[in-house]
Amino acid sequence: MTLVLALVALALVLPWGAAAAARRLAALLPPREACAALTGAALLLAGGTVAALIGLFHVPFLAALEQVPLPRAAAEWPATVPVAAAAGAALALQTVLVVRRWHEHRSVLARAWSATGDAVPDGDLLVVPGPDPQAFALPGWRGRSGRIVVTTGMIRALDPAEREVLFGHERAHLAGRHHLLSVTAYLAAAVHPALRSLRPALDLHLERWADETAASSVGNRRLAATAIARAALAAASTGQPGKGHGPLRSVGSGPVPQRVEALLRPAPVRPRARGAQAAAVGLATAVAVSAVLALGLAYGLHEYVEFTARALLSG
Amino acid sequence: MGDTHGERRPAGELEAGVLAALWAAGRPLTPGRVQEALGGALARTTVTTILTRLYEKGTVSRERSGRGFAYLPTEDASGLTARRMHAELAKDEDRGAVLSRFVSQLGDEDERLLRSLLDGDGRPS
Repeated sequence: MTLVLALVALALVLPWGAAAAARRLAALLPPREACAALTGAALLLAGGTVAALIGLFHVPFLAALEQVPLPRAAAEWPATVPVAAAAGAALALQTVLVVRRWHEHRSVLARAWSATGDAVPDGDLLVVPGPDPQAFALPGWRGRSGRIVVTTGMIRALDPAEREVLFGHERAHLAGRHHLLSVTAYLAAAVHPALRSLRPALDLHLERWADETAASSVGNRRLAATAIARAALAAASTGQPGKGHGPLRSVGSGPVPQRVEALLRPAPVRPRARGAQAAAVGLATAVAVSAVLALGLAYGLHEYVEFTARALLSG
Repeated sequence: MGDTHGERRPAGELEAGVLAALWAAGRPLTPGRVQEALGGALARTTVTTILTRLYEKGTVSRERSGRGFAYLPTEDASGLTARRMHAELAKDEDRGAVLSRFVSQLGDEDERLLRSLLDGDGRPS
């Protein structure tokens, strides 16, 4: 039994490898497909993790159901109870984290919307007077459609054509409901620490997706690149360095130069070369297999416990 | 005829461009001035229609200017929206999953990198 439990527990290690594979896969794909791959991987691997934990947690209860009382199960299979306790604790922690993160998400959205006030007229642009060049997409909320929030500082930092890039970018976020993908990865990261590494990757690819949509809506990749670079430089020159940048602040080459560079290159396409296609399929398979394996191991454990319990009673 | 790329887009998108031009100017603009500010991307009549619609919604105010009107974006009287929104933006929590900013913070090397990318791009080829 200990060996079988260890085998199922091994499924909890898989997401580390699978998350790395998912990031490699995303790097091979155009932004939209990359976002789908990363979000899908986050969901699958979180699901596999929960399945494996439930499998480990339910062994003593299943044994009791099969008429093997807890003291006997603990005596026959010494690893069962401590492993079930650890798995139960992990599941409880995950539940608390997921619920808390979901509430946090809703409350940020609620507060941002209440900050816009009720007097905001219709239309997709909300201008906030203020010198700090900032802009973001405010997702739809309770039947109100999403807004582009932009400061006058940002409006004045860009020329009219560049502003259309900004609007096209934020509209792409709103139309694609990108915040739902982002929050999915955020919640999945609460289930398994290995999935945290998917978030910065997904955030970058979501920005790239919106950049590409904006570039094709203005019909000019170089204009899109310039607009993003100019906005970032304007924001950097008026920002207060050292004032809480959050964990995503990067030293070295951050997401903005990568986005600008990508726009200065030709539009991304799906891998065409045989080698790249094979690599993409291989990586996708690796991610899917590790999620399915976790599920399969959990199911196998269930069957194994039933079988051993019956054998124990008849033997 | 005269149906430029811009005018086939939804009305809401055109409104955003016009409204942004008014905010960028920071002074009342006539429809002709707005059209100029937008680099002639929209027909004058389209600009006038959009400005009238924005005025009816209360998004902009207007004043007499010669034979027509000059338009000015309205701020809510107390600037309450602005203050509330700035307070939200100043908060340090992880908003990444909710509000995605157009541009994230730049790292130490990024500024230099961006400038060199743009310079490289501007070079005649």
